[in-house]
Amino acid sequence: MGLVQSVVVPKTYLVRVGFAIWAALLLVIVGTLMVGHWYTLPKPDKDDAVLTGALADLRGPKAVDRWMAVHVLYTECRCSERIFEHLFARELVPGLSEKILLVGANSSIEAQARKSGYEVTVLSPAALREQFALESAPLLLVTNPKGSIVYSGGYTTRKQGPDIRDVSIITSLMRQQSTDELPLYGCGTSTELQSALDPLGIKY
Amino acid sequence: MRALLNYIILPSEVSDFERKYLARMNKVGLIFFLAHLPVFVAISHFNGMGAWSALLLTCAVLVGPTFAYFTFKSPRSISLVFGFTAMLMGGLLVHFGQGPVQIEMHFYFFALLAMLALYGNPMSVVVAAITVAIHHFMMWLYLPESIFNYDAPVWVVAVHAAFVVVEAAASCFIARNFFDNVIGLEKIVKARTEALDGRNADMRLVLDNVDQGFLTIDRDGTLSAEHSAIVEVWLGSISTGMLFSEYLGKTDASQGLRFELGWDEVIEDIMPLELCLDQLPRLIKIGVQHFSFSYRPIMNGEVLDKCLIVMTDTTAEIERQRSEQEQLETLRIFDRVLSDKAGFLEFFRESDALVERVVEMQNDLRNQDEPDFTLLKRVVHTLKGNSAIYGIQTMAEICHEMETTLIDENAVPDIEVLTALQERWLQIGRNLQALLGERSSTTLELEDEQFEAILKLVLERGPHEEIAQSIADWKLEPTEQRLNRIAVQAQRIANRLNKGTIGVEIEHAELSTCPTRWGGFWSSFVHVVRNAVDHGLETEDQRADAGKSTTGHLGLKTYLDDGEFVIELVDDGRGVDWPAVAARAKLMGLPAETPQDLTLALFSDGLSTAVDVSEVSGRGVGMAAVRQACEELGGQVSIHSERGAGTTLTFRFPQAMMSPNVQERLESYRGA
Repeated sequence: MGLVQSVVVPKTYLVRVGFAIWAALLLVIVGTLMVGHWYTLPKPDKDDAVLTGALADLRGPKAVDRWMAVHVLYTECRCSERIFEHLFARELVPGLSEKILLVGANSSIEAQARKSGYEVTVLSPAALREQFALESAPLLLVTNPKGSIVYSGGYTTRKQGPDIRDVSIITSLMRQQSTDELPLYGCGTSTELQSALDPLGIKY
Repeated sequence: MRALLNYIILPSEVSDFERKYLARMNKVGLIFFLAHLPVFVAISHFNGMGAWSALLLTCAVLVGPTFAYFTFKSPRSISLVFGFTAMLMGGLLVHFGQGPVQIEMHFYFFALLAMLALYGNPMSVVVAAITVAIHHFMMWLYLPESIFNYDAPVWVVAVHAAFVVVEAAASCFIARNFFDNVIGLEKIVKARTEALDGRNADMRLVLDNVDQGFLTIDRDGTLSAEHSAIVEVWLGSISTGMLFSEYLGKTDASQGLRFELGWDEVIEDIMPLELCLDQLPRLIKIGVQHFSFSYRPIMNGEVLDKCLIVMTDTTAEIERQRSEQEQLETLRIFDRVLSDKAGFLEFFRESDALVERVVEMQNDLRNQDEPDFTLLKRVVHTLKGNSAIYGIQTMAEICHEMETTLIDENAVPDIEVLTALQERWLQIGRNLQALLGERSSTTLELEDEQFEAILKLVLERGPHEEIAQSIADWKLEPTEQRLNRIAVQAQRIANRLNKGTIGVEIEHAELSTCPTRWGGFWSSFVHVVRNAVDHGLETEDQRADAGKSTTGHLGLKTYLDDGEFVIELVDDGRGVDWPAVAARAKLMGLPAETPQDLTLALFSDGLSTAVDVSEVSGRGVGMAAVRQACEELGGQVSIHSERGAGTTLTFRFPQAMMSPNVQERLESYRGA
């Protein structure tokens, strides 16, 4: 008798265990993928001092006493790409100062944005959070001539809906008409939010 | 709850049909999932989600169903894995298909939930639904907002879930019905088949345990597969698609051919069906067994569809009949012995010699390359005729069977038939021995007149030579005695042939013949007597129509004429149909021009004008036999016949042939 006894593991047992692992793993993976898509991103607090201050700085002297729209868009976000394409395809709204906070560097997008008449500010995801207290994109922020945030939300009524409503939202607000803030779908820009949405690091 | 579980969880038994069906469906399912790979890669690529991530994630999902397909033994387990896989694929599609139609990508889940019903297993649907539920539950635990997105209230989420539940329930219902009524159809058929098999087994039990064999044939005469087992025991194995004529022919070629021809007439539907069925073989003998067939038509409207053949082993019945017949024959023998012991013993001795000749001749003929059956036919025919006249029907039947083989098949009868002949004859001999003891062969009976005559001669001290001659004459047979016996036989024949009572006149002229020398002739002479009664004498009605007395007459005479011993048979019947004889002779290639030609033809082998062959006459053998017997004694036969007026047959012999002379006879005793 040896001290070491060989343990015979039934083949069927191994198969079952293997399948259980496979099923659980895939269930979690696919589940997290879905979370990333369907999670409604947190909207910024309109009264956040950091945000209001940063927007006031962004406003600049040319935009004083004017309506201002800020498009927060992330170069690594597919949802933001659709908004880019939309903005480049439309005319600027008259009487409105439109700015793009471009999170992440992308010279092509930046050049095209400037060419389309948008004022572009490029910053990193960390800077976005630090300077503006924002951590998700695409985000539409609208301030009235007094500099108060009157709209903070998404562009579409549903996730990546085809009807991008930024123009109608802005014009309604400029006419002093009330409008609902749309839910915010897209991508997290901050590391914290990305970790929460994609704990396995598949998406980000 | 238990009912619900019983509805969702299938019975553990997997039928062959279900196994084959699931094997096919699982193959289709695997191919379906494998086809997702390029599609997902393409969608992901064009949506900016990255082709490599799509490749890796889809392959990770495909590992499970692929492994299950190639390793799982249970096809149902594979389909469960496919149910789980379907939901994973849906998740990937939603992920890769992000964009304006991302919500529409969710249709995949509902489509696949419905498609899973094709597996006919509610558990496949349930596994998929549970996968979705677990997924949502996990998401809710992790990030509740991901479930209640768009800031959806609880009831909206409930409606969302309700769709999944309702569809899953509907898919389960479809799957279970699909299983019960389509996949399970085999089970339904199997159950019904088993019920039918059970009934068939019961029926077979009945069929196989009765003393009759049942089989059916279709219009083509082809045997059906179902039949009693005993039939194959009796007639051998039945092959698929075999004709009954072939089957019967394996045992008895002639009966097989007879059935084939008879069945053709049945199918031709020209003659009445019952009449045609009556013509089919009804009896067959296999070895020592006897079987009978009866045919029962199975009609489809007015048309014969099938025929039920009932085969019965009649061996015991035949044996019983044979036993009864033998007993009856024994009684008949006793009766004949009591009424005419000498005559019967004479018949027995002569027939015994005939049986011996039959056996010898058959043995000789078996060794010949081109045997001539003429003599054997005559001997058998004589034996048959005499047996029939003395009421020994069993012997007559055996002889008739031998005669049929000799004449119809021109072959030596089977050894079994010969054995049967010998055994039956030995049995008759034993019966006779039991009745008469040793006296049956050695006793010499005297008439009172003979006894008184010899006593007187002795008392008167007559010459020794005269006394010796008188005693030696006791061994001679008076022709009166023979003629009287023949007269009785003629009357029996007439009775059997429904000719009514006939009159027989005898003229014997007190002549005697040597019984041993003349035994053969007298045996053969019975043939002409039979012919006279059978073909010569008309029925009472025919005689009345012909203006004759209703009683037919025969005349039996023995006399001496001009140094010749003459035996004459006269009848007052219809006379010989000479034109018919001539026609028949021409058919046989015999001369038929002169009266002499016709007389010779009449006494030749095989010529008969009779329509039917019976155990009495009709084969054209008897006349040739009697002519041969006549010629063996140096005699000649002549015939005189007028149509409607009767026939006279005259046999003329040298007188010296009647018996050896006195000196020869006495010398024979001295030497003994």
